[in-house]
Amino acid sequence: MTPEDWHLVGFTLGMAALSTAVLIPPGLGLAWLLARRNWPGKTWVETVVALPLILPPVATGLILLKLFSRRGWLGAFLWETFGLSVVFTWRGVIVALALMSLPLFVRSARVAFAGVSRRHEQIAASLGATPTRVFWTVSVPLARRGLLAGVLLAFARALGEFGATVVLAGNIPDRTQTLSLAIYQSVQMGDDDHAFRLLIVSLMLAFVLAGASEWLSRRPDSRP
Amino acid sequence: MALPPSGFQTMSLHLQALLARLPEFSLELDVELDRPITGLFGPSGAGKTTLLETIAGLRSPDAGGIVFDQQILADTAAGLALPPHLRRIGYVPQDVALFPHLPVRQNLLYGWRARGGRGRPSHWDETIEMMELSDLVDRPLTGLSGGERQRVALGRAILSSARLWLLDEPLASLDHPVRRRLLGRLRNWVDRLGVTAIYVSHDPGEIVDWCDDVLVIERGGLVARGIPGFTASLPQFNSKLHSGFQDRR
Repeated sequence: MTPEDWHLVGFTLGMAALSTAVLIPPGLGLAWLLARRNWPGKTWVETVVALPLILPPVATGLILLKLFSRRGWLGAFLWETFGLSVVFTWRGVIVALALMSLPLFVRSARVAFAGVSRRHEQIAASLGATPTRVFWTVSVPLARRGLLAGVLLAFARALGEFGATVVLAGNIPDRTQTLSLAIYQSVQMGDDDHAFRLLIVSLMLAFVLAGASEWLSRRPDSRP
Repeated sequence: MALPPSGFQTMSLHLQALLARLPEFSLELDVELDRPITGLFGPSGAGKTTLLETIAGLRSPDAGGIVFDQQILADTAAGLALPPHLRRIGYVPQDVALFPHLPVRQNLLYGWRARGGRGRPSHWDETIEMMELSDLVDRPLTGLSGGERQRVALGRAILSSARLWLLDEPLASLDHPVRRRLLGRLRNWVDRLGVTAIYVSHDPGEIVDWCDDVLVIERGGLVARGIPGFTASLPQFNSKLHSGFQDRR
């Protein structure tokens, strides 16, 4: 492994972690709303959130490219208001990874929130807790295992993302290139040794994440 | 810490043509409760828990209003329903519903802190002593017996700065002597804090000894009111209560 390879691994882990952190706040809110409330347009939102799971990742990347290019609706706003560019930058990597991981986190968190006893939420409210306080002091702690599993899933998905990232952020070494993009590039260029070195790193990361996920699901519940 | 001085005027709870529809019958009450402790008596499934949950705001009445201490908690005609967290109620449900992720101390302080309290309430030490919780305060929730859990739930409600206590068989899992001892202290506490309490029990002796007033309900309707009426109505309830206890076991 060369220093460039280690840099690539660090960049990929950093981007996956940052994108997971970015998606958690909206993902938590969305999952709770889907699990606990009925509201107009709920089915529509559910469908939209699930789209990245169903659409080819390249197609999702193309939609993001249209949205975030400087002539796109969001891209123009970000450029004119904050001077920020998303396409072909590390920000594009974050956006692509977060959007592709969001459905997995929301699904996991939604199931976790649905499993929280309404009784405890009600009693907390009757004891004077505002809905926000009930959420943070009862719902989230009681759903913690499912939420943590969702975070792991989202992180794992982000580590392996390819299609949406390559369209929105490109495959620019030292700027937007992640592990999966580098493996693809090495294979394309016939540098099989390099590709296999990166493959082994990817396998090790996958083992660690799968192990963590397994540990989480088997850990005895400490709740009385 | 000293208890607040006694002599508070009891706050009245007015259930105005209250209607809550249940699958098999409707709870219908129109009463004003103006005594410190009102017992709520009736066979299992009579609507007692439904009434407490409606007062607490955990379920909406289908019609009618609830006014406590001149504050409207619910009024279906006006479309008003005060959210549960603003009702200043301390509810001890039958299933206690302690927060499983919090140790005993955090459970006890939950309502106090939710209502903006910092540190510990001034009556912390006395509540711990009164509910005999000293040995439990620093324990996790795991391993507590049913009776210990009930005492923690009661302590949690008492410490929450509530003005109205809704106690749904709060001491049912305790031995009779312990229950009577704690009830005596609870009675003293209600009088000195000036709170209002509704106390559900299946024990007529407890109602007569510790309550100032009683509502006897059956299939959602009021069938007797006041201690004399209650004692007079007891014979007709004996068989129903007995079957109710069998169901609960």
